[in-house]
Order: sequence, then structure tokens, then C-alpha cells
Amino acid sequence: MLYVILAIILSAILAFYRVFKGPSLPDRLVAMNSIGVMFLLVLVLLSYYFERKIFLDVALVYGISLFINVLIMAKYLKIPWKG
Amino acid sequence: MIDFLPSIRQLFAFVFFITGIYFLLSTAVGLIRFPNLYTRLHAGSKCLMAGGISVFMGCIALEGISFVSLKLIIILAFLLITNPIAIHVIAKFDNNYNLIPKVYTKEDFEK
Amino acid sequence: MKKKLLTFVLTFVLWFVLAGRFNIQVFLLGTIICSIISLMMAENLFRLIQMKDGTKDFPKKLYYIFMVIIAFIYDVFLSAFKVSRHAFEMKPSFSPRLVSVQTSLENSNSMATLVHFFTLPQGALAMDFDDIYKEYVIHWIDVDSDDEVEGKKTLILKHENLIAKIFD
Repeated sequence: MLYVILAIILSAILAFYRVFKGPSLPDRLVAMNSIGVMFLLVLVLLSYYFERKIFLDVALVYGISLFINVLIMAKYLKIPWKG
Repeated sequence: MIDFLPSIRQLFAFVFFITGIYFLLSTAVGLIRFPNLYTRLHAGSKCLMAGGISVFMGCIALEGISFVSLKLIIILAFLLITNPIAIHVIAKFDNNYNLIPKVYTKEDFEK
Repeated sequence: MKKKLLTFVLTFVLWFVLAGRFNIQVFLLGTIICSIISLMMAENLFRLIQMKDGTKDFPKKLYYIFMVIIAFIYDVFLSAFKVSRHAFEMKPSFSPRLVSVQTSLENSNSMATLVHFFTLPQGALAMDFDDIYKEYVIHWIDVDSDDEVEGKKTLILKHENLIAKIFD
């Protein structure tokens, strides 16, 4: 179970390259969305690693706040600004 | 015969976890190597969701039938509904402000 | 009245799944909270959804819902394998193309549901929607010629018929 968590964290670190070097702004949003879903999977797998099933509620609330996060980012950054 | 069933269950979970790791790694590699925003959106929606589905199915195969697997199914259904909406919002946000895609085909010029 | 009953049943099932145990205290507290929620928020929840009266043939629709879920999960893995095969090539080769697809669906629920079936099971990405002509603007990932476009439009019709049987 630990190796699955380490592999998902490795793929999240690989996807973090696109956040640094995104040429435009929606590139960074896509990379942030995929990193968020990967850490949601890590939270689900950690509840099996520690054998505490109450951690699944943390994953549920994290998923809801992730969706609202992406929606507000895409709606707020629509406003054209100078610079 | 009694020990037969949990080993089958762990075998299924192992296969699901391997396919999930493959799809998630292909998501990360695709986000780095693809040349265009729209192809990156393809990598960020389909490969990510296939990896998520297989990891959740592995957890359900480990768990069996109980309340915890029902909670896992609810998180999976929520993720399957909301992630295409997020991808669609990002694509429309890019489309409306004319950040022009770099690869044009001939049919786009003829319109 | 029907909306409030539907909201009450849905939130009550969700309450029991999240609580995780059967008990008399959990039952009473869930009844109070779900009745308050269904009395307050039932009008705002179904504001954008067209409701119909026909609930007689619901067991027949249950079969089609099951078929839609099976086709959904199978096609997600199929299209994700096609995209992930591009990621590990030595030189990733693409032929992206913008296509507009016209639907024959009339209900607004089914038109909104079809966007999910463009994004995940097909190899496509829904970008915009035209209200007047009922056309979606779609970005395909690997389409080489016009014949392949027609071949992939027939794949859409398979999902479109299943959705039309559920909502109409």
C-alpha cells in the first residue's frame, strides 16, 4: 500500500513542473486540478494505511472544496486587468 | 476454501492499483510532453479519471460490501460529475478570451 | 409536493451512508434535519430541471440507467488508453481538429447530460454550445480525415439514443 502512495506522489511532483513553467494561465489551472485529484487519492489510500476509516470524510470535504476552488479561480481570473 | 476468497480479492485489488498507477503516471508525462493547451486538457481529464476510477475500484475490492464502500462510491460519483465541469470551464475560459491555439488545421482557416 | 418528497428521500439516504450505523438516535436526528432541508431548499434545488409526470415506467428506465453506467465506464478506459499511448511515444504526433456536431435531443436535461458523454467516453472536449442551432463545438484529439469524422459521429449516436430513452 505504501508503494502505491509513493508512486502517486511521484506523479504529482512530475505534474508540478507544468505549474512552474506554464506558458499561459489555463495550463497552470489544469496542472493544479490534476495535482488536487491526485492528493485526494492519496487521502483515500492513507485511510487504509492507518486503518482509520474516519479519514474518508476528510477526502469528501477536500473534494468539494477542490471543485469550488477551480470554479472560483476560472471565474475570477476572467476579469481582464492591466499589466 | 475459506482462505480462497480473500486472496482473489487481493489479486483484484493489486491489478486495479497497477492500472491506476499507469494511468496517473501517463497523466503526469502527458502534462509535460504535450505541445498544446487543448491536448493537455485531454490528458488532464481522461487519463486522470481512469486512474481515479481504478484506484477507487481497488479500494472497494479490498473492502467488500459495507458502509465504507458505499461512501467510496459516493466520493467516486461526485468526482465523476465535477471533473468534466471543471475541464469544460477551463476550456471555455480559454476559448472566450482568444488565447489562440497554436496548431491550426486547414479547415479552421476555411471557415 | 413531489419535489419535497424526492429531496427528503435523497438526503435521508445520504445521511445514513455518511453516518455509517443504524440507531434510533441517528434515525430521529436524520428525520428532523432532512425535513428542515427539504422544506427550505426544495424550490431552489430543482429550479433549472424540467420535471415530468411520468413515473409509471420507472423500472424500465432503471435498466437503461444501468446500461448507461456500464457503457460509460467501459468507454472511459478505452479512450484513456488511446490518450496515454500518445504520452509514451518517442515523437508525439497529433492531428487535432475542431468539429461542430448537431444533436436531435430536445430536453434540456439530456442536452446537459450529453456533455459529460463527450468529455469522458469519447476522445473529445466540448468547448461551446449554440442554443439556436443546437450545435456543440468539439475538439477531437486524433482525427485524420473527413471519413473518420463521420465514423466517430455514429459513436455519439449510440450514447445519444440511450440518453433519449431515459429522459424522454
